[in-house]
Amino acid sequence: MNNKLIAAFIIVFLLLGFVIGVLINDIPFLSVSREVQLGAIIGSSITAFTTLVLAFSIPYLITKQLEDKKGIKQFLISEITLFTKELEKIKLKLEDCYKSGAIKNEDKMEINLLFEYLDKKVDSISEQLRFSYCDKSKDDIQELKDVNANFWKKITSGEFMSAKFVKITPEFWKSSFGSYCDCEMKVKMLAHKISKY
Amino acid sequence: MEIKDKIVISKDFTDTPGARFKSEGDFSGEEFLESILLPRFNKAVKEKYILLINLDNVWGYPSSFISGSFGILSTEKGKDLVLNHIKFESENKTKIEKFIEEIKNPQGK
Repeated sequence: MNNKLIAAFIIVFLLLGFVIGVLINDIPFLSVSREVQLGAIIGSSITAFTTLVLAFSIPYLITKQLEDKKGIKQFLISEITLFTKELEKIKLKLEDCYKSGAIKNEDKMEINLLFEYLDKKVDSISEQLRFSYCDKSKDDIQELKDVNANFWKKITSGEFMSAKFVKITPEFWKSSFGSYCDCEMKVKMLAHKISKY
Repeated sequence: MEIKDKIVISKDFTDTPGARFKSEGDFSGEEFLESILLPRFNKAVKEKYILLINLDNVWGYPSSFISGSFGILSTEKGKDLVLNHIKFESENKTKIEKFIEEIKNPQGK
């Protein structure tokens, strides 16, 4: 709640008090029992004040919390979008090499470096998920790690790094592309899961 | 056990790890295992200390390199012995997990 709103409330309540005071004095059908004790007046005032504070603060706090959660989710989903873009770079690099009919050592180094970067992104997303959604995110973090490791193994565990591997065969490309699609789909599903946290 | 030895792969071996076997090219996992990892690991076991391995500052690790070095070491010496005497350090946790996973479940086994 901003300061202007608080000031407005104070002014409205002061005016209201003034009007009620005038009415009690000037209009006969509105009267205050002179026997009412001071303790009862203070008690009623505190109750009224507490009710008003709760009535205004609870909706405000709930709205703020919901907005904060929405912001965190959107941020995490944008991190996952960045992850899929890095993932796509590996697919595009392999596709280029496949189409050009040759893969050089520099291309392999670049792909290895992209995997290295993906590991860092997995670290970053995992830490953020743990921080914001500790219990809910445990399985999803593991799935992200598994998906990332499976794609990395699929590309780099076989003949890929061999000096004799100088051309991407149709079989290697088909298998890599399938693995990429699987990985991309699972990572995108993770974004949907996060949106439902 | 305390750490008494350290291998920095990017400085002590290469920053461009290669394939699984020596026959497949330079800086293979097999070459790393035979020339650096195995002798230092054996010494660590014999003298009862931990060998620390720094994984940073390389152009990424191909799965075949890890399998050809740490995977074979684990197959030959046993995962428990390897995990007792080797610790990894890196700014990247996911990378360390890949090495530990290979030691626990060697691909070539």
